[in-house]
Amino acid sequence: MTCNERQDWMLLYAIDGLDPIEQQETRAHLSTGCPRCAGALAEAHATAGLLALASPPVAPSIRVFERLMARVESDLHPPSDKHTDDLPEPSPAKPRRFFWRDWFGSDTGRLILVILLSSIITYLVTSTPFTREGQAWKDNYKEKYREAQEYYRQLEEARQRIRELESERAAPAPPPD
Amino acid sequence: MQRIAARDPKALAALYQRYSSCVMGHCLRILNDRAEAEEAVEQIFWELWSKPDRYDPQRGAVLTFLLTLTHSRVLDRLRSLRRTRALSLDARSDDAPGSSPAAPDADPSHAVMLDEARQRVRRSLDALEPDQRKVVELAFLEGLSHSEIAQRLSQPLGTVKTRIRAGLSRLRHSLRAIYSEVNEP
Repeated sequence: MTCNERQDWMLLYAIDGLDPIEQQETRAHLSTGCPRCAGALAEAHATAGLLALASPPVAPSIRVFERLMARVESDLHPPSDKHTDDLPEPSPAKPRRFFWRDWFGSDTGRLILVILLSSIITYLVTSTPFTREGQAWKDNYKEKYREAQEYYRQLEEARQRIRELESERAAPAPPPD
Repeated sequence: MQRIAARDPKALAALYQRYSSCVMGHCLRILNDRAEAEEAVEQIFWELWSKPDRYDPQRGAVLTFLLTLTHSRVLDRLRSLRRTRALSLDARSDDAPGSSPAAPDADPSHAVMLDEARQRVRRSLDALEPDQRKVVELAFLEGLSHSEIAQRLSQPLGTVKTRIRAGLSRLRHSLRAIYSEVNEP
């Protein structure tokens, strides 16, 4: 088929009216970039549009316009809960189960718990800063106590010495020789 | 169309008010079913909205683009219906049933231009030989291929091709003048 022959068939090509083999052959030719046939195709599209104009005009019902504008509105402003609507209903929240409830519910668990708590208390009693401070205070108190005992002992010795001296002073003087 | 591409719904509404009667008339004439025609109209204008970049101002006016799109989509729908419903097209009449007067155009001068163009296209079709017009209408309005037309009319394929070619050649020359006059106002 020559380009001249294609001019008259281009309208049918534009509306997919050629037989499949002719349709394919024309498509292959257009893909080569033939400017003359490309122009003919553009004219064919315009002609097809004008032929459509020959149909008597009929007003569509108002519902068509309403549906169209509703789609446009939905396209411009998609509903915010659109995604959530598509999701399945969330299942009711299940009560959270803690593994340790089952574990410490057994006898072995209880025994381990007692040992653990005892160890913690022992550590707190012996190793906390408060306990160490108390021990230091206690050591200091013992030292002061020993010092006090020493002072008391020395005081008793001094009192004893004073009593001895007073006894010697009070004793009658020996007769002169 | 630039405003439609800029997502202006008022522009689409204005285009719909201006051309929906033309689109609906052609859809109804080809589909012969008002509900199907209205679905096609909605789909065609939705395509204008959702794919506005398909329109190339360098290739013609909005009207011819819209009508070309209409024809293509409505033929697709007709072929689909044929497959699913085995729709009989022999009972087709020139005046589709259920037709109602077109809505008045908001722009009277535009309405006059459209009506004048419509009359000239009809005269171009009327100027064809009856045999030529018959095959052209079968090809154009029913989307039949050469072979299908030959089968429908029980005529040799060569004869059908000759008539279609002669008819389309005459139409092409007579519509060329109209095409150059139809521009978007």
